[in-house]
Amino acid sequence: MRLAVRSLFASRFVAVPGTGVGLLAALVATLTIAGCSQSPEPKFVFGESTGKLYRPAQKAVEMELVKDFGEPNHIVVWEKLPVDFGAFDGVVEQSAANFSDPVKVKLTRKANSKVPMSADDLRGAGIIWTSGANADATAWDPKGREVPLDYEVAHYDPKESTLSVSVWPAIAGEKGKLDPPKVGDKFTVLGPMLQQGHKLYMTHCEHCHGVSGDGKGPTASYFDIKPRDYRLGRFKFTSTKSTDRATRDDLVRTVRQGIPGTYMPSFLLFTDEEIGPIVEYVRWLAMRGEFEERSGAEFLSGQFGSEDVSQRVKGGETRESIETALDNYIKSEYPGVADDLAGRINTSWTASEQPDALVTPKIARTPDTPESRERGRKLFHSDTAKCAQCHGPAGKGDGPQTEDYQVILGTNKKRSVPGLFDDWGNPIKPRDLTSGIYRGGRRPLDLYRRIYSGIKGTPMPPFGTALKEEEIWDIVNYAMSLPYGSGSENSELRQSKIASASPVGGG
Amino acid sequence: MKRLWAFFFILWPVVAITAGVISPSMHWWFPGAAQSPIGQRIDDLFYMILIIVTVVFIGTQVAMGYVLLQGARDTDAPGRAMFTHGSHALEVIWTVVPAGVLLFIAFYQLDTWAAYRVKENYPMSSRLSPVAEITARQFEWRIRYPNPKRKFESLPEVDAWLRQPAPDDLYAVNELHVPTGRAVVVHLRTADVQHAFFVPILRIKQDAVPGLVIPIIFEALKPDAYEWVCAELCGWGHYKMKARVKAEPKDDFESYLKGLEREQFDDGVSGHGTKKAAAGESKSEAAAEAPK
Repeated sequence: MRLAVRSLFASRFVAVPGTGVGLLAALVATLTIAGCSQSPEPKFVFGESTGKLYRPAQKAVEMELVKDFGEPNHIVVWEKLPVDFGAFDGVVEQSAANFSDPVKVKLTRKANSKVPMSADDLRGAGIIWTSGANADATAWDPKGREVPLDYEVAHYDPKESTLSVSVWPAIAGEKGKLDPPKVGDKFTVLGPMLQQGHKLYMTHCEHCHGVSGDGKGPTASYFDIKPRDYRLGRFKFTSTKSTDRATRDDLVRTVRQGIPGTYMPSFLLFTDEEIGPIVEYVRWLAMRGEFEERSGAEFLSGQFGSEDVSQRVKGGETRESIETALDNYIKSEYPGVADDLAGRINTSWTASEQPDALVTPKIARTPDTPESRERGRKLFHSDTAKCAQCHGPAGKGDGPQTEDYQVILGTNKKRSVPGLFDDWGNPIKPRDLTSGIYRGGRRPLDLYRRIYSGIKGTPMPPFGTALKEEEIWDIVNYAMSLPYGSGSENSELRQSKIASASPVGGG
Repeated sequence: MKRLWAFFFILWPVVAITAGVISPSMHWWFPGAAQSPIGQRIDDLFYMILIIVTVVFIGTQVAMGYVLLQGARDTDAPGRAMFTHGSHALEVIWTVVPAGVLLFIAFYQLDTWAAYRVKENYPMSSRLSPVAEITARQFEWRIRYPNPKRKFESLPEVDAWLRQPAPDDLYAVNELHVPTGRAVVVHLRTADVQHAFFVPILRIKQDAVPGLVIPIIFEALKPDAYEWVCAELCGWGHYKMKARVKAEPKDDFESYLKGLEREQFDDGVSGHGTKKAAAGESKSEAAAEAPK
């Protein structure tokens, strides 16, 4: 019997080159080891606005960004930003033998933060020791200068409430000299809210919106409607006035409800403890992008773009003199400019959270009567509102402007292709009001806000001042009646056959 | 050595049967008892088939084990092994018996199949009061409820509602509310590719097919939030189509719809909306109800 088995192998399998089997085994082994290892460390990428700068200016902006915002796994808590970074106060409950050993700790939330106590991914969050031997520990950098030590969480286990500490960047040879945490040592964990937001963002959002929030994640390339690039600090569907930013509630609503008609799905099943950190992280990414964008603009206005510099060299200036001027600017003025930018970003985001930034109608919706709809229809076609210019005479989103060559924003040049574009440079279509799909929500209040404040970053302008409240309500009534008119039954979805008996299916 | 091999091959069916016997009590792979009447019938069928299969499996494995051991002993004897060219009687038996068993299963399950899949068998009251129309799309479930005030008098009226939404319809996403204690009908369609409506604990699974509107009938036996997923690989974001079916007593269901209506026709002033919405906060009713 054994002989038979062996001869079977001999005739069938060993005839296949043995190296093939060996290779396969090696491949499986490699995949087993490599496939399960940590994915590469995520990194923020720098935007196109920075790429346009002359090299030293580029470097200055990049260094400033790393200093003020850090990297995805090493978030810098920059107090100038109106972000709830979150903070835990901690006390060591058990001494450790070695510096990097896990120790039992007790964490409590700082009063001014909404960070959930269930935050479980604290890896990379900064630690400041407020008492104990580590409180004023220093180290020497490669150049021999004495620097304060940057502590961070290496690992945190919420079940056991144990925490291990590391120093960042890890300083070679210093580890042995670090004092192990002792009972009663007090510390603060910085930025757990964003750390938690980062973890969830990387799982659920990053594949479309990108690590840096630039809307260039790997799945984004499949879409004809592009994911939001946060870096202009601009969100389309908000409850605020046209000059204000999105509120936290606006972002929460978008995440929960999704955006119908786009690829943004609903994440309704997220708990409050998940959605808070995600929204905070998105706001922070938006501020980071905005800061980068505006920093770039500052350098460009000082003629430090790479094109400007070559123009200036052609115009007779020496490269050295430009570089000296740039160096001076970076050293003496840019730090102030950066602070100023952060201050301006802070002001606008903070103001948007105030109640008076909200668009709230003062009078109730006009009863939805044929008369009101008729007034709305007239306004729709009027020169005051000009709705039909884009949305078309029947509201189908095919107005004459969609066929026109539009002027590029901030220039007097016209685009080479007809049609409407948003501030991100993506071609967009005015809403087909007969479709019954409302990206920013279908409540009368939502439609009112779309008309009152416009849609930020798009050619849909605000009408809050041009139209009276009653007029806006008339247009809302007219627009809300459009999906039920005669022209609306043509939609492809509605032509579906009503199944007489269920077809076999499942699985 | 021969006996070692024989026992080696006998070991595996023993392991398989042991694992099968202890798995329900260890909660391996089993989603728990069905929470709908049709699900219980499906479970009964499943267990019946499981019993048939178990008996056959144990029988054939015992026979094979016997042959292995017997063969191991026989090779000790001198002389050549017996050669046979099949047995006609045996082949007829092992063809007719399984065919009979399969036919029995096929006929036995027809009723359950018909109750679940054939629209004409649904109670008329359920057909005339569709709870919702569900549109699957990449990657979420959009839900449209008829206004609770709306009464359908005839089936063509229901079909017309499926073809053309009404201004007072109520909309939601990813959380389907249904009343308990009665068979409910929802209509499934898709806006893009194939998806499948799957509520494991109710044992309800139905493909959404482009171009078709397919009715699904089910009854949730007790109020609870049931996991609802997409069971047809529909694209890269398939895993994102996690949702929830919330079964609740009739009164709660009705007040949910009322809340949804208040929220949906909120103008920020008239107190249509919740207190929060009037103050300008934009949390939706459904969102406010998300479990903490």
